[in-house]
Amino acid sequence: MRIESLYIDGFGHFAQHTFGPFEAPITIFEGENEAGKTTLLAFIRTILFGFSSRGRDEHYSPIKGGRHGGHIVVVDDNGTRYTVERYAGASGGNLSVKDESGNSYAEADLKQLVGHSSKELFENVFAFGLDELQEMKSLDNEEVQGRIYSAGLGVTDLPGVERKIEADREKIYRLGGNLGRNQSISEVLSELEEVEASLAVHHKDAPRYAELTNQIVRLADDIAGLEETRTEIYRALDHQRNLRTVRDDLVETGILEAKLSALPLSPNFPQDGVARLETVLEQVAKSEEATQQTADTVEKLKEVVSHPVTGEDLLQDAADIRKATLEKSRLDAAVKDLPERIGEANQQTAEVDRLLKELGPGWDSTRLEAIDISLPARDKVNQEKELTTRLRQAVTTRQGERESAEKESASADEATKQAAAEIEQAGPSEYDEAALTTCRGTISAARQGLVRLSEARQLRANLPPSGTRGASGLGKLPLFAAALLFAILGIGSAIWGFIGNGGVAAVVLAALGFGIGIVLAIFALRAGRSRGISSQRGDTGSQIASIEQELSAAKTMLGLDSLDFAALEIAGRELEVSTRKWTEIQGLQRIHHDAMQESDRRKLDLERVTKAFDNSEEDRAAAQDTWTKWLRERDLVESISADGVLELFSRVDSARSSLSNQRGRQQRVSAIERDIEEISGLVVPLATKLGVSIDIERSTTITSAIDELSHRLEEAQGEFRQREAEQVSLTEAEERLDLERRRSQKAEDDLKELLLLADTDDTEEFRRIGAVQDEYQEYQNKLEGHKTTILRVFGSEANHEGLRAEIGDRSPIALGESVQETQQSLEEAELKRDELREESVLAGNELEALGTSDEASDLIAKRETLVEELRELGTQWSKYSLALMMLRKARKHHEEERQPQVIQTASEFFKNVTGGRYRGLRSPVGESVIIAVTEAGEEKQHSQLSRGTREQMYLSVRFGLVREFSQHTTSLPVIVDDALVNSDPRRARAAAEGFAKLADTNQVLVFTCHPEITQQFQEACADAQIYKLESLPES
Amino acid sequence: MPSYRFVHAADLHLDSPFKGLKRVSPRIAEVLRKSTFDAFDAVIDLCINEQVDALLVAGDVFDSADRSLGAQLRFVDGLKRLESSGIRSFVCHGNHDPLDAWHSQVSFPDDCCRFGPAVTSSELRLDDPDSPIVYGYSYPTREVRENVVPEFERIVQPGRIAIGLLHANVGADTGHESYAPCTVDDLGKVGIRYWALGHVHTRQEFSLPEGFAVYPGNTQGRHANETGARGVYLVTITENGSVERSFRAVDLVRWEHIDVDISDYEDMDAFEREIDHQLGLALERSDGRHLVYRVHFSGRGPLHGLVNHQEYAGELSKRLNDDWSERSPFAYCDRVTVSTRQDIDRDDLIKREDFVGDLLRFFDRSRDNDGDTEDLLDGLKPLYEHRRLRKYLSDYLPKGTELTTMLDEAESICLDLLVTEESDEN
Repeated sequence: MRIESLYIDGFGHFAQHTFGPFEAPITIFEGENEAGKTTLLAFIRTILFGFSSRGRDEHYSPIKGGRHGGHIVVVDDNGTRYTVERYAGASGGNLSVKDESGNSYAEADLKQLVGHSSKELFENVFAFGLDELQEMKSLDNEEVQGRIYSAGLGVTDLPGVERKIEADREKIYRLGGNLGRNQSISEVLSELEEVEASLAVHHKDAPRYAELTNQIVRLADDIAGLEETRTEIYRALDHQRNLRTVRDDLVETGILEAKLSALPLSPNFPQDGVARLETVLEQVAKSEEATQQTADTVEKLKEVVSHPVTGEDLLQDAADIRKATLEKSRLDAAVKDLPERIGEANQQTAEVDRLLKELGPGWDSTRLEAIDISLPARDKVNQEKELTTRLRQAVTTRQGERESAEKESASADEATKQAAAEIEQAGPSEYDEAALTTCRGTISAARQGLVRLSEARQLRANLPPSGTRGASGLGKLPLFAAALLFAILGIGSAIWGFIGNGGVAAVVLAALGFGIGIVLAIFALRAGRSRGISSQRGDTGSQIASIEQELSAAKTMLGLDSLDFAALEIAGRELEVSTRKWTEIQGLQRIHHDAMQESDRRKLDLERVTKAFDNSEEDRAAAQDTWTKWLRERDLVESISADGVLELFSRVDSARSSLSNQRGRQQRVSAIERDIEEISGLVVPLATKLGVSIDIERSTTITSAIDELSHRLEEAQGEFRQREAEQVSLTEAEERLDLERRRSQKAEDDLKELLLLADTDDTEEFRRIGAVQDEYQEYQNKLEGHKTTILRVFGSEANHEGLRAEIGDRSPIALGESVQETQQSLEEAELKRDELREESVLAGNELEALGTSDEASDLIAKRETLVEELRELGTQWSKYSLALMMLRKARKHHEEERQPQVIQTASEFFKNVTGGRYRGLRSPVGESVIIAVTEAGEEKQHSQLSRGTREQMYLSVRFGLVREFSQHTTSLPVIVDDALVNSDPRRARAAAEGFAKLADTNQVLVFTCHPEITQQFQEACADAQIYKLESLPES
Repeated sequence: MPSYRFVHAADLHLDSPFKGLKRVSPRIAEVLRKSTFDAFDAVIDLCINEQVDALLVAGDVFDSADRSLGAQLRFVDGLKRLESSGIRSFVCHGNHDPLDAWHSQVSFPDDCCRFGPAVTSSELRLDDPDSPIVYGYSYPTREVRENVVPEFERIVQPGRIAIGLLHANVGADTGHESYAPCTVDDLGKVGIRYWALGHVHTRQEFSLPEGFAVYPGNTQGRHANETGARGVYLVTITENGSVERSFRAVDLVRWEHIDVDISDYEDMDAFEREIDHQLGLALERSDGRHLVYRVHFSGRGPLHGLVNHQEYAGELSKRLNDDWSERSPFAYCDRVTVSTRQDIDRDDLIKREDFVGDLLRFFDRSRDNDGDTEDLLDGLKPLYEHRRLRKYLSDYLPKGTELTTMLDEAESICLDLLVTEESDEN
């Protein structure tokens, strides 16, 4: 970096003052004392590094006005120009850094611009005066020291590197000191030691587990012993309680057993023997009574069934009698109904006879039944009736149609005649349609011909005189020839149409011929214009002749005397009159033609209708013949109509119905008579056989006989059924008698058997024995009750005698007291047992807790984690330590093997400045001092040097520093403030030469008040630039 | 001969803490603390569900150093569950649970065959003349340094299928202490069809002339290096006497490592997406179990500065754990370690004749020559031999490879501070 110019807005004695541009390698500011050299140096330092925070004196307040500050224009190593502006303000002043394009930069960029040099470094190394050269102290700054002794190591800031690593290392563990709170390894270690202490407690778990296990075993034994004791006491207590419970039963048992042994015992006497005896005696009595009653009944029934049944023989005819009884009501009805039915039959016979007479002679019942009046026959008659009606109507209709056709035919003939008369009256037409059309075309063509003739003549009149040579006329000849040819064709066609029968075709051809001829003629004329005038004239002449020829033909055809436009107008009007007349005649002829066609159609209709009428008549005659034949086949009168036949059929039907009715009634009478006869045939033999009086002729007696027979039969049957029932009762009574006898015997046997059990045959004795047995049983029951109680309490093995002996004569109260004593012993044993159990449970819980506790596991895991952290920190610390050790090793080696570049450079400069009196300088390893080595090799501390030589040594060191700094960062300007005043001229000269060499890489600004110094710099550097500073007035 | 089935487990280390784990939330701590017990419960469930003849436990049921009473009680509770299901148990003890470490009050089930300090035997299935015979040996004390396999050879009965139950270091596994050392050849000479081994925590099988020797590994990984599935072997001695075996995972918590090389990434978004992706894969591998994992960054690259920022590792751990550690099953990021290097050319730096070059050469010399490290260790001893710390740290004074790794880290610290990328370019 180099300074190009300065602008001081207000700084010390300077106000709005510009210095520069500084283009020379060395710029010398020469001025007397107080000229402002130191102020300029301070200005540069302030602008680059900021206003000092120290006393106001170092602020260089603007005495002569202007804003406190200014700017410096600097150029970096790349040639980029920056304006560094700073005015007084907080934090070193208000800074502005801009390049030539006006881009702003931050303070950090300015630091980079000055090679990250600190203000102190700049002041002590790059901008120095006589004071700084007096002693080494100004280079005591750590950074500068580091640069002197590590500069040239190939690194920027070895001391800083070492400091940083050392700081990081000490955060973990600081060598030589106690483990302090700020060292991370200490925190982890403390925590780890706490965990270890907690774990130590858990190490007692195992012995405690063993102790508890043994305790639990011991307690289990004690509890088992107590449990056994308790069981024994409980058993005794239970026995005592039982004794107390069954004491009375045991006493009572003894009494009852004594009573029982005193009573006689009938071992076979049955249980409830007396009650059973009474029951058996009662059964014996009942059986005897029942046997007697049944024997009486049997006797009575035997008596009854021994008598015969009345009317027994009647039973043989019971079926016939019941049949006659059933037919009795039918017989009654028949006898009662017969006379009325006979009367009805006779009346119906008379009706049939009357209806046959009404049908006419020859009708009897046989014919009546023979004639076919079925539905097909009736349909046939109805069809005949419809056919006759339809044919008759057809004949009438055809007749009407024929009369109407005759009238219309006559009317059509009349219309035809009237049309013919009107045609006659109109007369014949002068032209036909073709001739009219031809004339109309000819008149039109003639008009056009007249126009063209006029134009051709006008053309010929306008042509120049003949003799002018024109184009050849050969070209138009074919066109005119063609026109002429078409004109002739048109005329021919017109003639064909006019004379012959060419009709419309001829007219069209004629018009076409004329038209094409005219067109070709026009083309021929236009073509002719392009040819020579002479040729045109010839052509026009030919054209006129041709048109005249056409007009002549038209005149002939139209029959005109002369042909002009007036004649053509007249001819046209005549043609219109002829055309209208022709049109009128044409209309009349169409009417006549239509009337003739209508007349023909009417005649044809009349013929058709007449034929249809004849056909209808024939159909009607044929139908009549068929009908007559049908009547004859049925032996009916031929004159009878279809309606008559239908009437006849109706009467026949009625007569048939009456005949059928009459026959039915006759059959009914016959049936009634057969019934009476059949029933009489049944009853009469019975009555005769059984002696019932009857009169065959009187049907009423038959009825009475039936009633009599029926009554007798019922009586006989009733008596018979009674006898049968009595027989059954007898059988049953006999069986019952047998049963009762057996029961009676059984009761007797039971009684004997029962008495035998008591070894007696006397019922009274039996009853006495029974009473003794009841008493025995009662004692026995009581005894069993007591025994059951004892059994329930003591079980089946209980020894009653022993128990009774155990009780002795103790009262229930005495027994209760024994129970209470034993109860107390039991409770004491249980209490002790429960205490041991509780102790065992507590020990078990503790044992389980020891076995399942996670605390020890957690602590072990935590210890492992902390140990790992400790190792990790140790590893990290080791890395830093190794890094530091290796750095220091290398540094030592470097200092021993490689004198720092700073010292080397300084040494060389020092040797030159001293003119070889000193060999150079040396920096001993591990010491921050510089030693001058004389030519003879003597080493001198700085205190041993003269003032001038010492200044030269420090100047040399700064040379070395500047070189080193320039090599590793940037080349800052070197500002020297009267640094050589204490040097003799030769050494000053040598120093100036050294500065001139330095100026190759670093801009040099020299402040001096000594013209000889200026001169020496000028001699050392011919390009040096000199600024004369005027003395400033005293402020 | 009928077929026989048994489960072979080893190194239960019941109630032993997870090693090398930093502080975790109480919920996760609880899961981790119970995990060895839960894994053992899963072994018992497996035995019952598979209706095996027996469970064989090849030592290190618990860590005697932890003096855990609960571990011993829970162990015998599990064996009693087996007994109630008619399943025998065979237990031998190893260096972590020698016979003298067991509390005398802890009573084993009656039908449990608990081997003593001399090799003895018992039938796998009682009252079965064809039953294979299980031979076993328990460490009387922790220090059993002699080969005990010849003792087996001495008593093995010919003509019956033999199973050996032993806690031993076979083939001088350097990852484990050399207790009851023996060789594979030693095992092959005995005529045992299946050696049910314990001691080595990683699953391992050796083929022998007559069968196999198998380390099932521990039942629950308890350290960052114990990654992957942990469990037991379900073994079948078939009718023809052949051995069929299948591994069954019983662990509750899986350990995983997520390693990301920063040299593959230019920006943090892609880099962190890769971390998430790797985590997703680790979750898939954990197969529905809880997951504890470590994230490690290595390599050189532009992200070196960012990932080495003093707060980055903590923030990443927090983000990952905020996302995953509260779920069930959880995925807990134990730590984020960084061994990345600045994106600078060390080979170039070491050629420089300046301080940095000197420094790197010193580092190389220290790494290459152990003799040079004495002064370094002297510099570290004040911490490791501190009177209050040495109890925990004296065994961890870095040596050998560990010291070399630390020197790498120290070099990285120096270079980060000494050499900026700009100066490197200069």
